[in-house]
Amino acid sequence: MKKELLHKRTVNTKLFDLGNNQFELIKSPVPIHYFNNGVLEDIDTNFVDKGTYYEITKAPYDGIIFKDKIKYQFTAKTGGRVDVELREIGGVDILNLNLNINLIKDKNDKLIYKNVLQGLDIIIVANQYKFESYKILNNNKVPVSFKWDVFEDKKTDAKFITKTAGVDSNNKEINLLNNNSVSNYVTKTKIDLNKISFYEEFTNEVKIRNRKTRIKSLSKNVKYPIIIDASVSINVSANADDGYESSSASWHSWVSNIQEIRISVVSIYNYNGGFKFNNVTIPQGATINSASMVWFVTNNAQGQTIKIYGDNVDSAVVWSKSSLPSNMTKTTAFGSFSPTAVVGNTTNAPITSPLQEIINRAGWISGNNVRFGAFPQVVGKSFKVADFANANPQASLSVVYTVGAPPTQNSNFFNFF
Amino acid sequence: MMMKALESGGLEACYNNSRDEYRKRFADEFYDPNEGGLYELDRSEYRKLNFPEDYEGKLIKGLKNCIPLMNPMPNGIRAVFMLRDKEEIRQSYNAFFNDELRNIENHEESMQRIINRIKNRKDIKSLNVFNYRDVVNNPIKYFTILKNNGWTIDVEKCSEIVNPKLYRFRKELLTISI
Repeated sequence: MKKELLHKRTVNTKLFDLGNNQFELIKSPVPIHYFNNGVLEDIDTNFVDKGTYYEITKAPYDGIIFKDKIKYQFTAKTGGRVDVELREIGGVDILNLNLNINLIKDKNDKLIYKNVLQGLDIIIVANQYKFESYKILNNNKVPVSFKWDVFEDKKTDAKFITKTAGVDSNNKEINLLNNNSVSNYVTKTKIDLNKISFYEEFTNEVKIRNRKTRIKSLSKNVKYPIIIDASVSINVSANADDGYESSSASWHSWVSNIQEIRISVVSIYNYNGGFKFNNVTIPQGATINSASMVWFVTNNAQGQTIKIYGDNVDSAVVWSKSSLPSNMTKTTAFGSFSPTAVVGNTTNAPITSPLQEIINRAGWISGNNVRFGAFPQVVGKSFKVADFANANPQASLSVVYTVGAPPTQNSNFFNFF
Repeated sequence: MMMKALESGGLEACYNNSRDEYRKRFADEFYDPNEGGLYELDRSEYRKLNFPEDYEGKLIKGLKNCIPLMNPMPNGIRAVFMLRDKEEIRQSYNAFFNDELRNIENHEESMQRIINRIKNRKDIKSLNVFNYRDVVNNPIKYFTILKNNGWTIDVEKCSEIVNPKLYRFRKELLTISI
């Protein structure tokens, strides 16, 4: 019977006892647990209805979304709070607008201020470490500028991201003007805050690029609805552990802190994916029964085949321009698969054999780091996955292993004699 | 442009073609970000402790970050410093890399600091600061200025290289701040 070993939890890992000395390790690059009075508990991003507001408390942050105004609070459990409140639409104070404030729960982790003005929805989505706030303009009758008041604790882990972006329904980048003014604000209880007056305006234009000259220009050919996003986040350091190598015969670079990881071959250029997992708690010599990386697919032209090798070292170092998938010491064993999952779904990249080779190393110690290179085999077949921090559902490493001698099938029978 | 023109005009230019692999990565069937080539040394060359002593008497392209690292040259150096409008640079960079160029806001001040650094070198024999647009519009004039400042070049051959069609990101064609 599968049973989680609670004392083995970390912020990013779960370990299950499957019986017969078999264990399953789930390792996520971003938090899956949070500390509640010193105890690690599962993150739950289900908004709870508290009457006049919705709240999230079972996360590395506490979040409140108000029902009677367009306002949310985000408080990092490690310290620091951000309050965000809508002040103006179309240059008019919202107190002078007849807004329809009707907050509905669309999904467990998604709330919508529906039809705030005719054709304007404001959406709040919670994930493991941030709130994302979207505005959807369903037609060109919606006023296109917004002014928000943001109060942000100084020197804390909660941050409001002041640059927004957006796309129209043709996935063209929209032209947004941002203008922020920051002033010092001290509360009655003497807490130092940044008061950010955050302004965003959509100019009713999308950005287009001439393919021949690559000169960008603005076009009025906007396809509604459009989406404008912003987010409030606690600091996570997941992005550096995954990315891709871009290389040709004489040129190599490492690309990380991006939203998508390319695994493909285009012309003479290779894009090899790289994935690193820190503090992997598997005992030396354990038998790996199955292991895979769970990837969230963002692009799949179909027909790509990917070989995945491990870095055959005791504990993997960080990826960099001088330490790339192509020049790591590859394991002899590799996993190979042809992903068929379509965009928006997850796929399991097999790594059982290469992980076994690493765990078998004499110098392997439980808690060391592992990393894997993903090498495309087919020219011209695009394949991309979301980077760890942006994968939803969650990207993870999943390993089922056995410690000690593998159990015999009738071992229970012999126990009776 | 300037490197290719001066090479064509008779100077021995040093550069590493591996840098052009980098350029080609961003080219496609419609657009080559820098058809003349980048004419840059390998980045490791710029970081050598004796840089640029290995290039005595040669023509090299000095990137802005490498200029403070350049050793004094006993026989002196000549420099031509190319300026360009920062919006043209920003959008040209964006077209090249499909990415935003950071720290462009203080471009003019940053360029002036570098020019001052060059002026203050004791080994500088001549320094000419040209605007890219001006050279494209009247190459004969500007290569003649260089020749008169001691550059051993053939002005006609230098000028033949300048192709106004490759000056694509002209401010008057751009949507500012896009």
